Amino acid sequence: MRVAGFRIFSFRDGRLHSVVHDHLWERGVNQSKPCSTVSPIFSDDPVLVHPSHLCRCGFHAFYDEDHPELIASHTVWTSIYVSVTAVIVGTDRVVLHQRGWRARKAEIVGVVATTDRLIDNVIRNHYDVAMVRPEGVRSLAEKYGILGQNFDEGSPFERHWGIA
Amino acid sequence: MNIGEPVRTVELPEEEPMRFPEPEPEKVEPVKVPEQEPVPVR
Repeated sequence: MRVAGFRIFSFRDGRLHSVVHDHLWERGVNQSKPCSTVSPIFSDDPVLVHPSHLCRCGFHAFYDEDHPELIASHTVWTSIYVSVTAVIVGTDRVVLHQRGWRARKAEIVGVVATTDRLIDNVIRNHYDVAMVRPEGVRSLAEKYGILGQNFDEGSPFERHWGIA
Repeated sequence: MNIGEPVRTVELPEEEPMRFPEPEPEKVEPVKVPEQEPVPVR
């Protein structure tokens, strides 16, 4: 089972990067580094496992592709770098938030096509992902994982067959 | 990215890629070749 969500990447040097932290995303599953902002001594949990409720580490994504903050973020970063909206799926340890999630492991599975065919080809070839139009990004996400707010209902496939 | 306050944590084990069993090699019966009598060489 995987949780799906949406986030912004900057496109630099032929690769996709996180926009807030300088993290280069690799093809396939990426593993986040545990943060050191929260020490186990400040936690009730003797062995603090990341990501946790107490920290902010992990790969972030929004539940909705049209969340105002995601759109605003895209607008801001596009003025600095070439920016793309993408679908990622999270696995392993995932913290579900009110508007999105944080996962220890995540993989890019689809990217909204830009207006530049060369950039789209580089992304498609390097990350082996589908390039989609903005209106198709949500259905793409549902193919690969469960959108966070529907987590307890299971995937569309599971709901259809009544096995959620 | 402000995704709001944490609500709960879930563990989602990574899905293993689907693996299909290797097809067994087709058994081929050995073909019996009739022995030929040696041709005498003069």
